[in-house]
Amino acid sequence: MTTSSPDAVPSAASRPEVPTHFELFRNFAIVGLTGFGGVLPWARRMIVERRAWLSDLEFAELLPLAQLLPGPNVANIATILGRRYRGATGSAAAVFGLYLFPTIITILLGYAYRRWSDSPITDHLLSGLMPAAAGLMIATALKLVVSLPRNTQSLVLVCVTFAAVGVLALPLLWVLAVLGPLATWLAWRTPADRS
Amino acid sequence: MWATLLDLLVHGVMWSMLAVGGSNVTLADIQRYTVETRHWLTSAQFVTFYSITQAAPGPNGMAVALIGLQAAGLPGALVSTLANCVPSSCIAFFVGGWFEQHRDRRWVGAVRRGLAPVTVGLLASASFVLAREIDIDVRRIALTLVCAAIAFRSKLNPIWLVLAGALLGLSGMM
Repeated sequence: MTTSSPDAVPSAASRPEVPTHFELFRNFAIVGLTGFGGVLPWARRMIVERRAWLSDLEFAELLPLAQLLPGPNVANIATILGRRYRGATGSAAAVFGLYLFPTIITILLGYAYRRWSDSPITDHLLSGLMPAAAGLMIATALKLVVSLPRNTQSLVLVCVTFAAVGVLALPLLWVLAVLGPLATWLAWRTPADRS
Repeated sequence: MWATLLDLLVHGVMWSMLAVGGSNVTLADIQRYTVETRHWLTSAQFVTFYSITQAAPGPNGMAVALIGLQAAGLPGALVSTLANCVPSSCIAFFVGGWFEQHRDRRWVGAVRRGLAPVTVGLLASASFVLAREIDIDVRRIALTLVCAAIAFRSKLNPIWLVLAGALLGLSGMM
């Protein structure tokens, strides 16, 4: 069933034992349940800080794949990690966990909205909740920046990408078409020093 | 009823597979189809549904569950949710698996290491753009900065920051 054995993961000996199906389900369910205003900060906290399934750098290196694949990046992380640890059923357990509570809560909110559609409470709630959620996103981005290898190459790539997409609002496709091959070529030239 | 469910399924699958880089890229097309073509909901309802799912916990793109609920009741919501997450997860399973099997190849490693800083730059951009849209006055900017600093420096469970923000909002201070 498992096409990728745990041995395929480097430094497998130094990490805790492989999570079970239930642990995959449970941990991603908690991420889904608590992920107000975006699940990525919660997913990083669970995977890196609480469960230590991945190091900071491994998480940062998994993100490009999860981001470039269609669908929410955290759903893709759940799929890839579930597959790595427990194969297809592991992916199913992780993704099911991630979506279980959000689906129930969203549908309940939908029914509540039908009954009390003109309530100003939603606006009030969002006016405080969303700035806080934006703060969590910024903190997660900062944590990922400091997790990258400390060299000028990484720092310049982060800054150029941020300037192009965040500040100048250039089309994402063009930015990736230029920076993707350039960044890959730069990494190809430098040795894979994983320290 | 069955025709609507099939419609939700087919379009949900299409949006799921097209959502490269996150669910927000398909938002405009979802709005065009569900509001203007099908008239399942009004433009104002679409915006409200999006806000509700932003505040609710969970991955991006859950707004389609509410659109499905509006169009075809509970079965519509469930069909939309499944159409939203199953196809993209299947793609992630096979492509991700391919990458894991070939992770020792030099160019795969170069792609992974090279794209990491670019992706982090994209996330920094996304959080900057998000903050710029949300933080329309000084109080909101201050709340974002305080939350960012606390979440970055401490191991405090972020749920307390979200709750504090929600309470500040409900109290009418924001």
